[in-house]
Parts: sequence; structure tokens; C-alpha cells
Amino acid sequence: MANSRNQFAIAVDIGGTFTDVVIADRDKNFFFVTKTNSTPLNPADGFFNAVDSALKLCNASPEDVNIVFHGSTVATNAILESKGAKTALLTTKGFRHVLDIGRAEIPREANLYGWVKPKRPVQPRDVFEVDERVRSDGSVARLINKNHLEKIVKKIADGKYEAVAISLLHSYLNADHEKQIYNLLAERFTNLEISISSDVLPVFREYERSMATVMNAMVQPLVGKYIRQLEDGLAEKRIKAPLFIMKSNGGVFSPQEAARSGAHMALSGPAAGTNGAANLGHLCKIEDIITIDIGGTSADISLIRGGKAEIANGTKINDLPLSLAVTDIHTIGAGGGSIARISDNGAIMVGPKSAGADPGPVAYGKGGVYPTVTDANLVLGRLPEKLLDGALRLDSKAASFAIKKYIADPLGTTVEAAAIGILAIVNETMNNALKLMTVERGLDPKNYTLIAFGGAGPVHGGQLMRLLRTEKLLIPRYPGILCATGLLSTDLRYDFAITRVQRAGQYNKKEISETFNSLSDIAKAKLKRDKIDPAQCHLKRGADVRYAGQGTELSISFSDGAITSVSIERAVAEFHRTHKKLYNFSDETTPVEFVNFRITAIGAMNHIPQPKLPQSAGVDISATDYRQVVFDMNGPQRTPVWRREDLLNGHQIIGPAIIDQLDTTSIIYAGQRAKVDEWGNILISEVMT
Amino acid sequence: MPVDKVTLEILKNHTRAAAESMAYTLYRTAHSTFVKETEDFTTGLTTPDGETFATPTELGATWFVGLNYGRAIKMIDEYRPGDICMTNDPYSGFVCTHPPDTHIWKPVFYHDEIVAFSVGHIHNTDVGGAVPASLSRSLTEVHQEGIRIPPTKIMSEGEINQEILEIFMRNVRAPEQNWGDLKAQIAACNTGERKVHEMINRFGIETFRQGVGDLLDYAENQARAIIRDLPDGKYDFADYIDEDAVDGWPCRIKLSLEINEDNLILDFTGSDPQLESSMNMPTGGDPRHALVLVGVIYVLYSLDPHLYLNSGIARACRCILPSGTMVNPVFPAAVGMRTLSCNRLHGLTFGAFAQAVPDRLMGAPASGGPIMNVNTTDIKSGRRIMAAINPMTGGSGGSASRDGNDGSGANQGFLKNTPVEVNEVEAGIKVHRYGLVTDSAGPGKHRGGLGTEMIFESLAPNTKITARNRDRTKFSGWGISGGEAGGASSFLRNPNQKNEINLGNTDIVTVDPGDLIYVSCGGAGGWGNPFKREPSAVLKDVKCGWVTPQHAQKAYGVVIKNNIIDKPETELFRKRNKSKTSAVKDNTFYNVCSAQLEFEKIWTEKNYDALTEGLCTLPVSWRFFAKHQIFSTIDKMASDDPARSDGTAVKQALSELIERFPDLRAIEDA
Repeated sequence: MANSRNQFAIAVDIGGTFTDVVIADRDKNFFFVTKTNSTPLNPADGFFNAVDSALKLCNASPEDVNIVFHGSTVATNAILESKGAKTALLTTKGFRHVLDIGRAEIPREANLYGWVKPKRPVQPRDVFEVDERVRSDGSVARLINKNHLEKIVKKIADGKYEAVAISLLHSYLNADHEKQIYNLLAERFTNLEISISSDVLPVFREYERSMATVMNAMVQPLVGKYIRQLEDGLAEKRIKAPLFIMKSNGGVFSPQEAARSGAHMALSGPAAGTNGAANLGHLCKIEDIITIDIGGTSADISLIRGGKAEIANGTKINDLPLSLAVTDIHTIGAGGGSIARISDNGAIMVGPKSAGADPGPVAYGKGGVYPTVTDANLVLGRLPEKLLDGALRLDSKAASFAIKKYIADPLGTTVEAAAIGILAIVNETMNNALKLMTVERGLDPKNYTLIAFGGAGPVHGGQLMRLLRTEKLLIPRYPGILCATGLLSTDLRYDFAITRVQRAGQYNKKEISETFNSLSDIAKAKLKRDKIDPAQCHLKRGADVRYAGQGTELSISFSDGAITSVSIERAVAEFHRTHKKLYNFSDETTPVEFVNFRITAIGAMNHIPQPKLPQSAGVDISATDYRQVVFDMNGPQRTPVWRREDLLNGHQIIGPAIIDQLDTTSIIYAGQRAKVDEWGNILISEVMT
Repeated sequence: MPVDKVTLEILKNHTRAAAESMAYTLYRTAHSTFVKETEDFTTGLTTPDGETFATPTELGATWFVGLNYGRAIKMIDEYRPGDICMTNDPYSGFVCTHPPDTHIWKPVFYHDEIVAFSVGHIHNTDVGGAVPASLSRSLTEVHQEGIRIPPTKIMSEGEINQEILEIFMRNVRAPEQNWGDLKAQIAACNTGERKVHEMINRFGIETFRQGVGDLLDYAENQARAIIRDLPDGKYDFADYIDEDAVDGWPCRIKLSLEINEDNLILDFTGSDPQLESSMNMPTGGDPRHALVLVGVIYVLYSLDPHLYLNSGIARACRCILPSGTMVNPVFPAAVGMRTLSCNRLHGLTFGAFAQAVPDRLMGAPASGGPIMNVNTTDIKSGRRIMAAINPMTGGSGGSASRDGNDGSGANQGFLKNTPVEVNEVEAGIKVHRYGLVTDSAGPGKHRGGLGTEMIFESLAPNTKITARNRDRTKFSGWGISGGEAGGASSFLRNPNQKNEINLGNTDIVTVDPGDLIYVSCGGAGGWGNPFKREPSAVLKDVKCGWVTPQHAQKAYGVVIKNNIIDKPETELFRKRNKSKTSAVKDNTFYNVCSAQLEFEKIWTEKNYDALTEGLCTLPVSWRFFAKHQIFSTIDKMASDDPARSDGTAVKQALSELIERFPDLRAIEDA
């Protein structure tokens, strides 16, 4: 590697406990991965530790780095832990309590009487009503009362607010008032982060729009500071490569954009995992995938259809809506650290409470007392007693003791039976969540490949595929760091939406055309700023459509080119089809309304491929070890064990078998066959008998 | 032998997932917007006897659990695979509780034997009858509330019964919607049947059968364990609906709750005679009717959120529902608006239990906010608009641990509001304010949640505004343990103007362009003495615009000037007005609003006892009339006449009535 200059790409994905790093070279086929500790108190330190260790791994110099990717939880944590900046909300007179009321409804699964309303990020004492009004057609009913506004300006100064969100009624139609106030505040205050709703989410429904604007405003000071630290630090290290930040929507954006739109980073981490899975699917020519990322406290489930991750137009964080484009991820409280207990009725319950990383499972010996899923896997021999090459020793005796004390004894059964019970229950919980994402959406899991990753994914994947009845299970070569490798295969992506209601029989071609054009212009300008070659820019149109009278819309695609009666009809027809697919009926006689128009802008990047594994000499490879593993009530079974790094392209293993690697263990059950592919993935299928 | 714990837990997951899957099928395939927006439907699996063992938790009317299909199941002579039965008659089998609800059930066979029923209901937008949507408080007999299908096979061995279907569809206003929704129900039942077969395949028939029984026992045991924890005793409580008919007298629901070891007895004797309006609750006197037990289930679940929901819970309960009263009306009493009575009954149940465990339950939820619709004309296009604008919601009651929720509470809590921007775009109105009602929270150490209010302007002539389920204009939600009552709800035309009209509990009004409508939901009741509320919490309420400084002083004894607490004055004020901090207040467990206090000065327990005793001697069809006669007699009496409130005048008025109508005496003698 001495002669020619290397072109390294670095991807850093910061999680709660560990930071995963990948350093890769496109031409030389390098692909090194490692884990460093996260530094939650000052995340930027963790970022640079990771970058340093990546450079050291390849003995690379900073000048050789030509691109840096980053998935971050800075915005996520600020929202989750309500640690955002002190934020004021400016809204239209008469609507100070919109955030507090919300959509008023209580979740179906909650007790109507005992439910506790989630705390709002901004309280009404920090909400100021502006004397102004825009009508529902965008015309101005009342100009801004300037004198009154001055009083609010004074309150913002006196209140020492760090951020201001401005969300006025009908600003998606007429943003003038929001902009006027923005300009005034920007002029008066030098150190105030200002977010306006017509920028963040120019879509109707004032509660959701205000909430998105508030969330964006409150993370802004933090995200802005973090981004500056990253940029300054990289410059200090003489890394001149551009930095890209992972967004919730599965794309990346530039630091400049991130500093303005921090709320788009809310699902930065998990989105990268889905992206990594989609990329694996692309390499292996698998288009329809269910992904499950099982970590210590939770499992994230997402869908990839036709090679593309499913993107939703919103999600909930802390039970509050965030109506921005996000990778559609369903999270449940089930993971390796999930705690098992006995209910008053004598049933085994697992999770959602978790021992997390600290103290972690009993077997970690860091003070965990109650048995977890990992402890159950360990006492059954499904996990080795050493992890991370011996850096972490697992205490099987302690795990066994905890299961005996808290589960087996109260139930009057054996430790083995109790551990099998714990795993059966947690697998059922995960299976139910997997079904929710597939069966309950009318999709048949049979047609999908399950990709299981994260520390505990490969341990449970083989059982989950059976419960869900998928025909294939794929375990990535590096299951623990798929989020980081996923970063290497992202594109720039921006999603824009705006409300322009079009009623049946009155579709306004000119307005639709202008709406798409103005959104496209904004998108192109952003990609240009990100220095993307225009040839690599791809714009896709979409629309949110509904039957008149419905309270929610369906997103459909809208064809390129001139807006004509034909292209509108085509979109209407697609709406009927989509509605039928999702709800099993369509109604051609009911008027169809267009509500929002959307542009998705992709700036295609040059993806860095994963290196291939060498071809094996034959199908068989002999086991390196054996250990006693309990699979069922028939007791321990002497089971062959392989080391993941010994496996080459073409090797096959028939279950029952165990494959250990640095940070996880893959379990092949009796009746299953594992094949290693050219990318180092393990593909598991049921052997037909 | 019972199924082992791990298998039972997994079977439990499977049964719940099966019910959930049925609900998703129904939701996905349902045709009417109403079903999609309100999720007013249920799905479930029952034993061959009709006991529900699985219900969904994520979709539908998730709290309407434990409905017993047994009586309706028995009304069909013979079942074959592929049969599906249906009824929407509130007086056949007492599974359906008002005509818009079509209930269906499908037998699930294993070999030649029925092992379960796959069941569910959907609230149809309309089933014909006197008014669109088939619901109005003013209806007086069930015949006006739409077509009724007694338990009938709508499908025989997979073949649809076209004749019945056509009769049904001929009698409803939007048949294509009913048909679409019925198809969705059938699809859901088929999903349920498939899921039962999957479970039998996985667990084996014996484990399935035994496990289902175990799951019912499981819920029963849980419920009994919760009840055993409650202090034994008898707890009486009564609450009111403002009016028993349009412009009527107050309507009382009475509950004597008896907690006896691990059993509950709920005696509704003393509740009003069946109404000549549509707020009756058809239970058929079933001592375990789900309609009456929803409140109990909420209570038990509030006490232990791990409670598994199925029919087993009901086994710990027995209700006494006297025939001919509003909680057990006889045919042909109208029942369409039973939701309003049910809402009141849930709160009533909480209130009775709160006496037993005041530190574990909450004050009255806010109530009386309507579900609102606007019928107007769009200025520009001239098209007629029919739009649902909002359910006006209120808060939940304060409790020992915390304040109630603002703007979201019990009762219609599952309903979403409609955003202001959508209302203005869709409903042809201009909204001037949508917010929380200042000073509406029931004061308390932990206050109740605030109600919501809306002021909007009509933009066209002949704009009709309907406000279904309006109530609590007079009698607002009570506070407990020293907490006070929440504010009343309100419905005004042109508020604060010369031409202001108080619309009371009216549920329809026609207005002109430029007219303003003010509508609000009441506030929820508080918990604990408000003079013991943290002054800083009161200050926060003032800063948020939830409490005015005047109210802060009067209700909480906290003196706030310029957004700052005046500590010395607060202490002084709280000391001087000791009545609020002393035990005087604590003596009454429930604090009701002043209007109710006034009413109950006249309509004492003695008066009601005399009334209840007297009315039950009359034929059912005379009771409502007699009640009105007696109320109006008492109303006209001099306020200082002791006979007015000690039961004597009630007895007297009743004898005079019997005197006046000798036929009544003949019946009495017979």
C-alpha cells in the first residue's frame, strides 16, 4: 500500500455504550472494523477517539481520508431526555394551548382513566400569542400587530431563551408573517436559534407542525454546537474530507444542513442499520427483507421492499409526534438485557425493563442481580463464556444462580426449563412485533428474508425465522456493526412536503405544477450546496392523497413531466390501487383529494463496496470445538462450534451448530442449513425433510 | 391438569395476537370513514358458551371486553361450518346494546365439534330509523332507532343470505357502507377462525381447550386478588345526567358497591326509572353484563395495570339491575344514546371505589363535551358541507399521585380532535380560539384536568351545528378527598354579546353568518384539599393561563401578584380561611358543584328512597310519567317546607297520582 495514495472512507456510528467504526478503501479492498467506547458526556470526544483508532488500524494519514460518515444520537437523546435548549414558541392569537391539547386522544392500549399525558417540550408559559391571522385560503385577515410583537421580543430577551420556534396558523399557505418575525428576531438577537414552521414542515395540522418546529428549535443549539466541534476537530486533525451526517430518512446531509435541521437526525442511528441491511440485500440480490436489530435493551424492526427501505411520513418520540420523513422502524423493549421476572400470577414475563449495558446481565458481573435474556442464553450454552476475544468473561454460575432464585424456584422447575421458558417468551414477543410489521400489513413473511443483526440478533434469528415462517435468514458478516457499515452505502437525501389541497373536479394543474417546481428548486439548491454533480441528482415526485372525508392520507408517487389531466388521472388511479392493496377496497365513485405534494431529492454517492471472501476449497469445514448446548427439554447436546473468521465463501454447516465471533454468536438449529456467501454473510434455510 | 405456565403465557400471546389480527383485518377492510376514524368496533374469540377469552388491545373499542355471546349463540338452533350469525337487536340476547351495532359470530369447528366462536361488532354510521345516523336523545322507542335484525344466519355454510341482506340494506341510508363494513366483519371472523386452527395445530386440541379455560381462570384470579386487597364494606354513590329527556329533570344513576373478600356486588337499585328518551342501557338484567362492568374493569386495571382482560374478570362481579329502570329497560325503550349514560356510569363506578381506596383512584373525569358536526354551505363553490369538527374533550381527575391530564381524559378519550387548520379548510368555519378553559379544573391538592373550549364563527346562512352527547351543563364532575368539583360545560350562541343565548344541553342549533358559537367541555374533579396545593404549582398554572390570579386566591388560597407569590399574604390568607384547610371539608368525601348541592338539599336520599319505593309499585310504562309529575309537584313547593325533602311530599304526590288515575290502584291491588 505504499506506492499509490489511499482513499479512505471512515464511518462512525455512536451508540449508547459502544461506538462502531469502519475504515475502508474502495480500490484496495480494505475493510477494517472496530469498536471504541462511547463518551455520552461529550460525544465529540468519542467521535475523535473512533477516528483516531480507525486511522491507527490502517496506519493511515489524515490526508488520505476522503470522506467521513457519521451516525449520531445527539439529537435523539436531547429529545428523549428532554435536554433541549430553553425554547419559546410563538403562535397565532387564540391558540396558545395547541401543544398541550395535542390531538386530545389517548392511545388505544392505554387505560382511559390512568393514562398520563406525555409532558410537552414547551410549556404554555413559554408560548406567546402573536396578534396576527392568515385565513385558510392564505389571505391575510389581520396584519402583525407590531407594537404587540415588540412586547414578545422583550419577553424573549428577558426570558433568556436560547431557541425560538415560530408556528403560525396556515403558514404552509402563506409564510410571510413567520418570515417577518424571523427577520426581526434574527436582527435583534445574535445568539438565538430560530426555526420557522413553514421551513421545517409546511404541511397543515397545526399541532404536528408546531411540535416538529419546537423539536427542531430545541435541539438546534446542541446539534449546532456539536457539528461545529466535529468540523473544527476534523480541521485540527488535518482531515479535509467532507463530513456527512446520517438522517432519519435513510439518507445523509451536510453539516451545514444538520446545523439547521437537527430534528431530521432523530433516528440517525437505527436508520443506518436499515440502510446497511438494504445494502446487503442489494449485494445479495435480495429485494424484500425484514430487518431485526436486537441490542441490549430493545429490538428495532424495519422493512425493505423492492430493495428500498420503507419510509414513513412521521414517527413518535416519547409518545410525541415527529411528522418528518423517517425510516419506518418499530421498536420494542426486548433485547439481551431484558429482565425476566415472575408475575403475581406465576407467569414468566420478560422486559420491557432492561439491565442495559450497566449493570448489564448478571453474567457480566457488574452488579446485575435479576436474570436477563443473555443469562438464559448463557446457561443453556448458547453463548460462549468469553466474549470479545476474552476481553469480557461471562459468569455462567452467577447467571444460573439468578435464574434459579428468581424464576426456577418460584415456578418449582429446573434452571434449564426456566431458561428455555425465558427465551420462548422473549422470542414470542419479538415474533409478535415482526408480525405487526408484516402480517398485519397484509404482507406474507414467506416472501421475505429475515436479516438479524445487532449483538443478540444472530442468537435469536434462527428461532425467529421459524416462528415467523420466513424461508431465509441472513446473518451479516459483521452483525454488531451493520449500522456503521450501512453508513458507507448512503446517499444524500432530502424530503420536502407542502400542503396545497386539491379537490375533486377542481384540480388546479398550474398550482400543482408550480408547487412541484418550487419544491424542486429548493431541493436542487440544497444538493448544489452539497456539491453534488447535477448528473447524480434524482428528484422524485409524490403526493398525499385521500378520499374526501377521510382524516388521513396515503402517500403515492406522481409521474415526472408536465402536469396534465392524464398525469393527474394516473395518480388518482395509483391512489385507488394503493388503497385497495392496503385496505382491501377502493371506491372509484368517491371524490379523491390531493392534500400534500412531495419531492424526494437523492444525491447519489459513490458507494464503497464490502470486500469479498475467498472461495473455500470445498463445502465442508471441520469444527474447531464442541460445547454442551441445550436446545430443548431433552437436555444438553454436544454441539460443534466454529469460529466465524475461519468460514469462507462456499462453506456449509448443518445444524445444530454454533458459530462464535468477536461480538456475537450465531445459532444454527437442528433442521437448518447455513451457507456462507461471497460477502461473508451466513444464509440459513430450513432443510426440507 | 392446568397448562404449564410457559405454554400458557405463549398461548395467551397467541390468543391476544389472534384477536389483534382480527381487528387489523377489520380495520384494513372496513369501508366507512366512521369506523376508520373512531375505531368503534370490537373483535374477539369466545368459548363455545360465549365467554370472551381474547380481545385486542391496540385497535377498536379496546375496553369493551367480556361481552357474553352465550344467550345470542343459543338463539340459533343448529350450527354448521361456514355459518355466520348476526344481530343488531338490543332486545334479543342482550349482546347488542344499541341498533347501530351489528354483532356477528362464527362457530369454529374442530372435526365435528365447536371449539370456539369468532365474534365482533361494528358501529354502523346508520341503520335507518327516524333520524340520520339513527341516534338522537329525543327518540322514545327502539322502533325509531332503525331496522332490527334478531339473531339470524347471515351466512349458511359459506353462502350469504341474500334475502335478509336485502331487507337490511333497503332500510338504511347508506347501504353500500353497511355492506362494506359487514364484509370487513366477516373477513375478521374468518381470520379469527383461521387463527384458532393455527393455535390448535401448534398446541394440540387438548392444550388449547384446557388453556382457554385456564386463561379465563387467570383473569378471574387476578381480578379477585386485586379485590381482596380492597377494604371490605359498602360504598354508596350516585351521580346525575343533567336531563332525563329534552328539557327534562335530572336523571340519577345510583350504585351501592359491596366489596366482600374477593367478590363485588354492584346494586343499581335507586337508579331512575327507564327513560322516555334514548339514554337507557339494555342489559337484560344480566348480572355480569359487559356494558355495566366497563367501569369496574377500568378501576381494576387502574389498580393493577398487569390485569389480563377477558370475561374471567366478570366472574368476580354480580350486578343488581332492577327491571324497568334505565340500567335494565324493558322493550321497547329507546337505547341509542346509551353512551352518555355509560360514560356517567364509568365515573360513578370510580367514585364508589374511591371511597374504599381514596389514595389510589381519582376524581371525576371531565365530561359533557359533545361530538360536533357542522352542516353549512361553502361560499365559493356553493357546495353543501357536512363535516365532523371536533369532539370537545376534557381532562382526567386529580389523584393522590398527580394532577389530572389537561384536555384529554376519560369517556370519549379515544377520539382524536380535528386540527383547527383542517376545520377551517373542510368545515367552512373560522375558529377564533381553541384552547383549555381557564379555571375549569376542579381545585385540589392535585387539581383535575382542564376542559377544552372552542369559539368559532359561522360563515354562511342556515348553518346547522349538531353537538351529540352534551351534558354536565348543570352538574359538573365531583372532587374527592377534599378536592373540589370541576367547571361545568357550556354551549353559547354569541358569547359576551347582547344577543347571547345559552343553549344549555341542546344538541342542535341553526345559526347565521357572523354568529359565534362557544362550546366547552367541563373540567375534571380535584383530589385533596386545594389549600394544601404547592403554591409553586399554582403559580405555574397562573403563568400558563390555566388559573387566573383571582381564582388562585379564592380556590387555592395563594396570593399571586405580577406573577410572583406573595408568601406572607398567602400564609395569612390560608390561615384566615381555615375552613378550607381544616377537617370540615375532609368530612365530605365527595365535593359536588353548587348546583348539585342545591338540588340534593331537596332531592335527598330520603326523597329518592321514597320515589324508588313508590315507582316500583307502578307499571313500567307509567314510571317516567309519574317521576315527572312528582318532580314538578316538589318543585312548586315552598322552599322551607320540611316535607319537601324528607320523603313525605314524595309519598303524598304519589298517592295523589294513584288517586287521580284509579286504574293504577286496581293494578296495585291486584
